[in-house]
Amino acid sequence: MDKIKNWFRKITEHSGTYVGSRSIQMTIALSFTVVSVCCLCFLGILLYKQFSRKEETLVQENSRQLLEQTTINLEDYLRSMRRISDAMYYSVIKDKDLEQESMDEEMTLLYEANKDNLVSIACYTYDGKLVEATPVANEKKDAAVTSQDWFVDAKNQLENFHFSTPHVQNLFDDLTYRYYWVVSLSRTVDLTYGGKSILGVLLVDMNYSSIERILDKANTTSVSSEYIYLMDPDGEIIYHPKQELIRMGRFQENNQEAVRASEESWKETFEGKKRIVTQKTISYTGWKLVSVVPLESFEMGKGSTKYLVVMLVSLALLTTVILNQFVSARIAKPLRRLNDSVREWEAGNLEPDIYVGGSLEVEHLGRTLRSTVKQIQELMQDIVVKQEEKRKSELDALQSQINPHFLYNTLDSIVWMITGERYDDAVFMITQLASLFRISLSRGKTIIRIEDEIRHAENYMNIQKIRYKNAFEVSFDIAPEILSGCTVKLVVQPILENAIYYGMEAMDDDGMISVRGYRKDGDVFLEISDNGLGMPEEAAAKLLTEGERTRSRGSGVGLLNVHNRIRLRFGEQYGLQIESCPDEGMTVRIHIPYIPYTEETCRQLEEGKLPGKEEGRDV
Amino acid sequence: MNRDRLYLGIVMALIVSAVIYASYGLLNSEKEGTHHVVSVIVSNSGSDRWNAFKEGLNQGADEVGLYLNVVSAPAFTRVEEEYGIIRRELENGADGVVVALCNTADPDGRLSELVPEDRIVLIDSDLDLEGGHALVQPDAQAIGAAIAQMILDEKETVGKTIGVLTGNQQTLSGRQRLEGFRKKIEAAGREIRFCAETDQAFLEEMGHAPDILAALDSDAMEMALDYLTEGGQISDCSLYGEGRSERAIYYLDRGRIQGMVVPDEYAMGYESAQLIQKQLEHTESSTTQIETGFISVTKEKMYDKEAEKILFPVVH
Repeated sequence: MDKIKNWFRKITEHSGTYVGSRSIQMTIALSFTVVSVCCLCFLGILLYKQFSRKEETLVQENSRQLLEQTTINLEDYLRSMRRISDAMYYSVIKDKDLEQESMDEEMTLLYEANKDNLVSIACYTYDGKLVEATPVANEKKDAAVTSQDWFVDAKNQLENFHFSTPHVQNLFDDLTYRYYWVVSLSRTVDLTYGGKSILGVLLVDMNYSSIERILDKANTTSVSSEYIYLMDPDGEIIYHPKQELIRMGRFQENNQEAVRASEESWKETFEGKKRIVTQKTISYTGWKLVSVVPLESFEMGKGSTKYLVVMLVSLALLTTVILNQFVSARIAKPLRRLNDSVREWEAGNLEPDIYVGGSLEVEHLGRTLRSTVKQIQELMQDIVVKQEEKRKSELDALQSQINPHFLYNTLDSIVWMITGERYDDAVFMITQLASLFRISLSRGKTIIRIEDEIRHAENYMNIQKIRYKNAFEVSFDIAPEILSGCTVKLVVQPILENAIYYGMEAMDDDGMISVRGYRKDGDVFLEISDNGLGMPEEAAAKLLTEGERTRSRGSGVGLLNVHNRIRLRFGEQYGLQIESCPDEGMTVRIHIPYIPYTEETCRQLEEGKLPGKEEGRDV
Repeated sequence: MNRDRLYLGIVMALIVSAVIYASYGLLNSEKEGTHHVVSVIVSNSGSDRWNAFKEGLNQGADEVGLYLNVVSAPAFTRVEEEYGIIRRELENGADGVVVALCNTADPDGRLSELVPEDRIVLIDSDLDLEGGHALVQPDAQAIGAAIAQMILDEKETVGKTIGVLTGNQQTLSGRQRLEGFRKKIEAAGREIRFCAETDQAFLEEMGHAPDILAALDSDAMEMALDYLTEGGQISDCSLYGEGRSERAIYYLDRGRIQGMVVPDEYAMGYESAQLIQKQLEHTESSTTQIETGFISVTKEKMYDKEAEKILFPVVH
């Protein structure tokens, strides 16, 4: 029991593993197929059994009908023989005084009318003397009639007809050397001689071949290996299709069992073979007609039935498997398409085309998934917006760091100018400062035109030049085609501020700061170069590294701030590039994409989106 | 996915195989088995002495599905005539032959050249060089001895002269009959006055008729009957021998033949048909030998149930 449970568990686990790893189409097809196979096999077996049973019933029914028909035929034949005997006795013998009359004419007439079925008709006295016989023949001298079975039987039971078993007639001498197998019908009769009645025996020798013909016909009619045989009440075989083989010992018949049987039909096993035996008793004679149907004869027809059933089941299976594939494909297709949508989403496409279709359930699943994706997108958008707001506020904070230092220094310079009655310079300074702040404010915008950024830088440098009493020179060389581009505001001014504080302070009126703007490979480059002290290349590289960030003097805004702001807005590939050699000055290059300044591009950049560069190039 | 397709392919292949198997089986179940054609060549094939043999042949052939062709042939005097018929039958498409040779010497092995051993069944007599062919025959020596025994069983035959019609001595079985007869007679201290094979020799010997005449084969019996019953000869010699014809049975019934040995010709026919079929199907050795029975019957016993069945086989 435990073993069976273990096996069952293993099979379940194995099939679970197998089915679990299958595609839904295969799982559906496999399940349908397994169920179909089971059902069809069951139906096939049922059909085969039903066929077999029908065939058995049919064979048995045919056999029964054949037996009944043969019984009728045989009884008809025997009845006709009895009628001959009756006719001979009641119409001829009883009416004649044999001392004066002969019955030869009537006897011959009767014989001639039935000679197909008769061998002879003869009448003997009880002491074995031949009274009359037809056809005319020489009686054998040593025939010993009185000792022959038919004669003895007739004498022993006076009232009855007696049918003998088949034997070779041993009464007459046939010069043509012919011998006849006959069945003798004998009866005791009253013979009248000179008015006296004596007993005699009337013999009608029936031609055995007539009985044989009837039974041969029945056995020829039989389609299977069933056969019919005839035996007397003692079980002695009168006719059997394999009579000679029985004599030779090459065939056995269970006739002794049949003669003892009381029922009409039964099943038996004889010589290792199962068979159905049915018997009928022939009227008057007590003979038994026996039908034998070997069960193996049912098997003969079953072969083709088996093949037919196998073929039908196989064809049905083939159709079912194909149908299963089709149906499972139809069921699985929407799920597969939905799965493909999910895979696309998994692959990084944040706006996948989620499939909605198929059955109600799958459609519902698709709708739900689509809704979920949409919600996730919205959530992500919210996060981006919030991130942008956070970044903006950070930028605002960074920008706000400029104002206090610079404003304090500039206002301090203006105060000194007014105090020194340099009113024109003070006016210029204030004008520049006003322009600078106007651009700085830019109505709260983060993105401005490069033109404004350059103007802002110029305003700043004009103020610083006054503050530093023209201790350095400034030049602006800006390509006109970049002026209409977008930039994050206040990116040039912090670099100029650095150039002044790091590069110019140690110079003696020969400091030079140049600002160059140009477009290359579709992008915009703004280079701020000075001829100051410069720094080693390694040190310059560290300026843009978060960990190495050094607070600068002046406004306190480092290059790193500018670098980060550009990258935050335009992407990681943009930002600052620094080239420097000690004592040779420094060049800081601002690299930004060229995006034409329009309301739309400005709005997109403000929202944190990067408009297409190509579009910008075309403009 | 590929594995799924592989499994699906295997399942489809299995189903298609089942369809093909069932179709093949269905078509073949309607086919009948091969029917071999067999020619039966016996001397004087129209003679009624072969009736029971033919019945047995037909019964055996029906059971195994053989097509039989009993070749119409005269009484052979030379074995070459038989060989000619065998050749012709094989050329005409016979798969095998059942042959009763009139001369079993075959010193050159011509029979084997003519027909392969697995396509022939000999009846009645083996070749002189025994054991090379499938054979169905009664025990010839025993038949000879049985005829002798019937003579010896009659008390009134003591001291009477015995003449023998040997029948065909060109066959091994003929010689074996004679040998069996002679041994039995001589063992009983009796003598054989003459042995005649041909009509001529027989007639010469009958100039001084013996008391007992023994005919050792069917043809010899016919010859004796011809002489004793229809030749107008007056002789009261007792007749014993082997007989198979209706005429022989009739004269047994009439008491002209005192004792007769009757081979079970039906069994010989039946076994021949079964054996040739097995030979052609190669399910039986080509040297199989089957011995059929015989009965010794007298006038008094000829209507006994068992004797009746052999003497008067039921013709279906």
